[in-house]
Amino acid sequence: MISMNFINVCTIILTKIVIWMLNLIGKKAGTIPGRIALKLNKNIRDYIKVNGKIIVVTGTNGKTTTTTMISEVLTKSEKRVIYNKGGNNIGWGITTTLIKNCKLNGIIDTDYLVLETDEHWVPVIFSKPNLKIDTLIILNFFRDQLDRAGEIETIVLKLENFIQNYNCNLILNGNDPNVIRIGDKNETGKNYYFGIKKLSTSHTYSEDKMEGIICPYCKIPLDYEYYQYAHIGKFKCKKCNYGDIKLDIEVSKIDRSQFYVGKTIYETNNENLYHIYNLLSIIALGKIYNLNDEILKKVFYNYEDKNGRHQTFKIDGKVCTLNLGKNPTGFNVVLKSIKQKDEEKELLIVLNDKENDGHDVSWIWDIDFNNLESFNKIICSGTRAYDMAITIKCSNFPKAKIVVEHNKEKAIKQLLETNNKKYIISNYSPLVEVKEILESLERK
Amino acid sequence: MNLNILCLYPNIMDLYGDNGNIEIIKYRALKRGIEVNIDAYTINDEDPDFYNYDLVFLGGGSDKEQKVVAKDIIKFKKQIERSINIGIFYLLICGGFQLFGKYYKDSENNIIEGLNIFNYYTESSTNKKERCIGNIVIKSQIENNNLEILGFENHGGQTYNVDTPLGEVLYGNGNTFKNKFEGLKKENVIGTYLHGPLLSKNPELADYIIKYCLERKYNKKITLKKLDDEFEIKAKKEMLDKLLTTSKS
Repeated sequence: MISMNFINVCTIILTKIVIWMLNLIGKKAGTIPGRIALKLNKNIRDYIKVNGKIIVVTGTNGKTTTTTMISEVLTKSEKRVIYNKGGNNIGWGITTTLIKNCKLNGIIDTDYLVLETDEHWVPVIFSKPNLKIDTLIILNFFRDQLDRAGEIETIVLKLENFIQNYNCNLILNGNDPNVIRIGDKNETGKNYYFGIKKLSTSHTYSEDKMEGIICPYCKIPLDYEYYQYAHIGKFKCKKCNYGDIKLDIEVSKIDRSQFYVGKTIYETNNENLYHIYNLLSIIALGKIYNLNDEILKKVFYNYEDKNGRHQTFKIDGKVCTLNLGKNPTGFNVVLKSIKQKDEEKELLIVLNDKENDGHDVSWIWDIDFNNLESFNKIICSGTRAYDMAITIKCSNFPKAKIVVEHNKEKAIKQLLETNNKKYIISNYSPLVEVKEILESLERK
Repeated sequence: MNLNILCLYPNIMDLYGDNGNIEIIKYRALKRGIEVNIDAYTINDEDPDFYNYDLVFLGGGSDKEQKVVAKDIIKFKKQIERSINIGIFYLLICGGFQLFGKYYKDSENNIIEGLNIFNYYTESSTNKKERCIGNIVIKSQIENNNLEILGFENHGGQTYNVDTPLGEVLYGNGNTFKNKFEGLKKENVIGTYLHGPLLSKNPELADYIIKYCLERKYNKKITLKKLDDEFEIKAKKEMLDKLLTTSKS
């Protein structure tokens, strides 16, 4: 009989060869190696042992950026760090990361393993003691691709179940009613909540579609003191006080790019509120692992996305900013900040309905397309360009200023025809291609 | 002319951009110089006067949200029943469609009482993964014309005992897994699982509702001016070509 150990070692070797071959032909080792490994040996992850602390980042929006920044902070703190680059955050992709970095005996030798993980996959991957999470960060839960990801309620219930008796640190968005629920179930571990105090930009009504506005215990609508955006804000159930929590990391004031946490002032190059929330989770992490505040400050100030999220390109002297918008809340935050800029501008929106986008595009009707007057032209591209065009037209933006061009390269060239400021918002699957087209144009 | 629209629980029952249906009605009405007034009713609001409206709309929500709405809407049963009888138009999507039947049994076997206005009832599989999810095309008769209606279904509930469906399924599931029929259609009621939102790629259906409401209200024959539906027609054609040719091969 062949021993299990032998099969494990063979799987690791073969998978490492696949990763090596993919790299050789200039491809990234994304999901394919992990997929092959699991096909060969479905329990291969049980063989992995991590000599270091596992940090997991989950939630709907902000996983990739937060994970990358955490890795940067840890690296600058002279720690050994392994993380899943480029957002391969479900079973296959994470298995690739694990095997790529383990020795033949299955051991990953590092100080920190930082993994962004799809909400559904957290309980699947981290239930066994060999992959025990030390700190789990939950950023937010928004309405995402419903046909693929399911309703938020399903995700929350899965995570509630998972966290009971698990015993890890939880870093939670204290302004998200769907997230703090999970803290209630963490009876053995410690919870760290982050949030932002009422600002001049906070409002008493929500401009976006909301999720989780009902108290999970009393089933009555929650009372909001203020909203920051979507359902993120300060809320309380008048019957059971759900939501009345003490924040461990609280922003007291935001002054343009500077934000105040206690006596410390941090500065960021992306002033969007959703980004500041991401940064707060990193500050909380810094408290847990005693990281130097000066390093955090440096990373916050200098960090520049290279993954198509808030990435800027200069092509023939024209400035073009690319952003990801894969669900209504994320899209709204990005679009709102573009709308507010007082300048002549044009917009390209790329919308696909591939497997990892979700085949259902009805979420685009939850985007706030009012007040688009400042755009000279809006180009719609991707497999569902016409759906996007209908939505924009019905928001009363003149049809004559809407262009449909399925081909992404042609759409980008059309966008670049004038000298005005350019913006691109893309959903998930076209993002990398759009980014690569822009990079190649930038090089020319 | 004007249209008076009542949206029920729009902040709770709007899981799949369903409120877009009302934006579309508003857009198409305004383009023809028809004024539109939209009121919303949700929990803790003052009771609406149903008889004041030409169109009442209710979208879909998650099980949790549906439970909360079911408890509240029951107090309006009489008004809703009477307003349907006098011809006010009701557009009901997904969870809204389910709530107008006898009951909805969720995946944990909890029974949510419906308004019991129609005879159908809905039951979910206890396996949460068993859902009808995907693009769907149905063939319907609207004012004696055949119309292909395109949308996206995503429902765990299986709805049985619908006597007058909205259409025949050409692609997708329908009221239950692999059903021949989808939705419910009365002269002044459309209930359906189709998101998309429903009216976004089916402008003929939007116009049917607008025309019905105006003809009833003003008691005269109405002809709606044609609109530029280039995007809608092309969006629909692309999807129909993709779905109906793959299903045949």
